[in-house]
Amino acid sequence: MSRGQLSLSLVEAAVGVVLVLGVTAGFAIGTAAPTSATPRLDALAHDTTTVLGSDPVDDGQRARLVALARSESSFTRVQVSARERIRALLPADVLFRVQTPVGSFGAPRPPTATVGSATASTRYGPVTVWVWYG
Amino acid sequence: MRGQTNLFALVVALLLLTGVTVIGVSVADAALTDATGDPRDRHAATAVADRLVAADAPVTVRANALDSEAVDALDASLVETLAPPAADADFRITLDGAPVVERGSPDNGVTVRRSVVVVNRSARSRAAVDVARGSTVRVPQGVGRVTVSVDPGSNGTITTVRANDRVVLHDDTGLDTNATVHLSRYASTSLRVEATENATGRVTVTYRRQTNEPRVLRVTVDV
Amino acid sequence: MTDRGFVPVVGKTLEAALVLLYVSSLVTVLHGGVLPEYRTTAAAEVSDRTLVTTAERIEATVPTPGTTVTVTRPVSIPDTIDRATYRVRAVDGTLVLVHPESRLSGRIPLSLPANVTVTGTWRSDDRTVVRVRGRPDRIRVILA
Repeated sequence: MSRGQLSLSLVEAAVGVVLVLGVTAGFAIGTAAPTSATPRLDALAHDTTTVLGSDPVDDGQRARLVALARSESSFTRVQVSARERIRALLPADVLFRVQTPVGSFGAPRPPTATVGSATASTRYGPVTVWVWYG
Repeated sequence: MRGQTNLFALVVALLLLTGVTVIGVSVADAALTDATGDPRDRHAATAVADRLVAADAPVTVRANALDSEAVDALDASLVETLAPPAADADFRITLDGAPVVERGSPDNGVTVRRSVVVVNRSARSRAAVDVARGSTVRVPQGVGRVTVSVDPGSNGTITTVRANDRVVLHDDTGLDTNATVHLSRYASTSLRVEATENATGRVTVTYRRQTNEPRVLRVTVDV
Repeated sequence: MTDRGFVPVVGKTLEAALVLLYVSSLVTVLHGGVLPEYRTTAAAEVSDRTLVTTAERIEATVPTPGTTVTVTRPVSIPDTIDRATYRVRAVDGTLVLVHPESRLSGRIPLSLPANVTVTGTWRSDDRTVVRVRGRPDRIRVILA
């Protein structure tokens, strides 16, 4: 009989402890929630389009961004250097995709992931850069 | 005796509950103090980063393109003037890890990363025209001034130097000079040399070229 | 035999009284010492974050230099902080939150391009918008 009543008190104490620990866990997990990554990705995409838009190529006649949109031959000519330039600008764990009116290159866009994007309009059409953590 | 055992168990249970409550309150306290200050740090860091890479900033040539000499001359008071949210704050600005400006120890602050290029306007470039072969030198866009030094050889005379078919240096008796030639910045220029038959010699073209290096700008601010 | 019948009742009453005493003392300690402090700290947090978020929103509505834009954008701020309405004022490049309780007021400097000025006052329970007006060389941001 004494054993039964001892364990009842302990059960009550255990319930109380679990309740309080549950609320405490709510505090701890709530404040550890990470901030959204979208503004950082948007800043990366914006910086990439800005730098590409001011890099001179073709003997300084036009910007790398414009050369990517100008024509298919210009796109193929500039594609490799543009890819290297973007890799140098972005951190190692970020993937990108560039789309222009005459072609695109980069990793395929993931269907479910936070993606930052920036679009620059050139004389030949819009050039869009997407970046995401991958 | 049974009553005392119950009481003892109850006291133990209540002590356990008290202990857990104290833990809960201290975790809440830590969470609250941890959460303070972060939004202001992030606001100040993004403000400094935005002001530093803006097109109208004193350290940039155009948007996201920092001038290397202006970067060397950057100091804490200029950063404060550009970005008022960083006033009286500790901050550190680095380019690819190398510190540019540092004040205090902002280790508890927020870091903002931007991609930029650093423009170095004083890199010198030199190219030579071999007169015997009649080669040309191509000067890229953006260069407004070149120094042409003509060094005639033993044979013949070098009469003219043309930039994109425009005559820039001419001497019928033969050029032997160092001269500064102004070119158009808006397009690249082809420098050609005209000389008498079988002339030898060297024409050296020197100019300052802009180099763009991609860099990572990191701004850490602790308000 | 009769003695043994009383002991459990006394024991249980003692336990109940002890638990009651414990709970009431715990509640008193929490309400007296811990709760009010947390309430004001949480309110101060809300006030600070409102200030920072509003500053970021205002800075984001400033257009890139060289463009003439006329923008009116609504911004949402909490109606009350700690059950009191407050004002948000833009003064001399600084955003100031004026709250009846001075501990919940604050200010934050705004980061703006060179030719942009911010003026105006918001009441927290009114509709709050940011209006951007002006020519490329002189942009005014008005809180209304």
